[in-house]
Amino acid sequence: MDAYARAVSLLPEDYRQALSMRDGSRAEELRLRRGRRPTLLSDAGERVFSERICTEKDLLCVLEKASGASLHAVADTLRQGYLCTGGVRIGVCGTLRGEGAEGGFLRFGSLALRIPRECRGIARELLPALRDNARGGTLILSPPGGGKTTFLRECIRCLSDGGLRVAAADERYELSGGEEEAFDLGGLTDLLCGCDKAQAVMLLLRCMNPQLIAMDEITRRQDLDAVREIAGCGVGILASAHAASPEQMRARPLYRELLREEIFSLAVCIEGSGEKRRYRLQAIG
Amino acid sequence: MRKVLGSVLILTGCAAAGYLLCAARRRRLQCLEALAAAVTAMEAELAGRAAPIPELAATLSERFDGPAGAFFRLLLSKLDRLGETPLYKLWSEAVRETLTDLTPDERAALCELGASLGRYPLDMQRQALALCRNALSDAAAAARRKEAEERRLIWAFSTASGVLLLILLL
Repeated sequence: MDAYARAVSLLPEDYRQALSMRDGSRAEELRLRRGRRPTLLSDAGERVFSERICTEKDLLCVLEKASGASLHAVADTLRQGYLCTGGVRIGVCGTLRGEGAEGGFLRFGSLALRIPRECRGIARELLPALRDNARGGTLILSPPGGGKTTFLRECIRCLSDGGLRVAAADERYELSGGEEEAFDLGGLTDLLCGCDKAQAVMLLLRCMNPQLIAMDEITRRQDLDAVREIAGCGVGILASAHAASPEQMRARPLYRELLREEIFSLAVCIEGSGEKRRYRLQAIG
Repeated sequence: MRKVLGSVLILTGCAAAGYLLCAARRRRLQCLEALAAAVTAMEAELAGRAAPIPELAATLSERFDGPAGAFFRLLLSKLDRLGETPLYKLWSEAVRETLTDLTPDERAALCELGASLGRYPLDMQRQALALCRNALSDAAAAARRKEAEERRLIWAFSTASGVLLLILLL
């Protein structure tokens, strides 16, 4: 079962029937919002796939199925606004309980079922440059939903199969596609899943003797600190960040700091969406 | 000769009826004790590692025999319908279908537990588990006390009714 089929299988029966397998080739997300009609997001935009208004019961149905009726078992990730099942990441919105309470939601408002993809060959053209910079730092940049994780996954696979020992920190199971490791990350890749990124990076550095460490989304100060630690150790870094370009990164204090330290010398900027997506190399300096 | 044989058959029949009544009470007691132990095990699994419900059902179906084991096995097989049918309904169905020796009140206590499982924060689930465990333990203690008294009563009644039947027929 591919990721799209897995995502669809989590929906209530009538929504499942409203979606055809044909939709799957371009689907990026399935979105359910309480009080609204459900939509499918693809490179062509967001379109309604059923006229039936989504209720909170529908949201609970998806969450119950996704968590095996065990929201307590996914409370940690739910507190951060998502849960993962079979490689599908479900973003969760709604009303949270008061601070300090067990990670539950008082009410669920909307769900975004993100469908991961394996796009073989998308890194082919940039691979020589990435390989040359394997001992340095490479950043993959795009706005949210731009395909950073897909590209990062493909880079890991290619570099690993090309003979590089890669260690990947996969906090949200998005690189591996879940505990079943649905995606091929190459023969020489060591994967640490479900662990805080910053912590995972340090563990991988100490324990796995990597030549390149890969991590998805540098977003917090802790991630930046972990990147700093790796930088001086002769190990390459391949990471992604939310920004359209290095210039745009400078607008955020955290990223400004990251650029100032010159840890990353190369950026891959992802532009466009769907089949029109382009990958542009840019030196950072 | 026929009279002797008939008398033996009547007495044996009455004793068997008494034995079956006692066995039903013993079965209920064993079921209550096993369920109380299973609920305690669930509490531990949830507190220790926040185990997901399907994993819990699988573990407990292997650990327990008899009606408690049958209950968790049936629940596990019903979990395929999750999403279409909420957990509390699947749980109640399994309670109704497997725990037939329990009284309606005891079954209601278990169904109430099913309504709290999986959906609420861990501390609330643990409270529900503790409530259910107490209800089952209290019911088991009461059943244990009553069983000794009732056993004597049932044996006496069944033997006496056998003898009475013999006197009437002879």
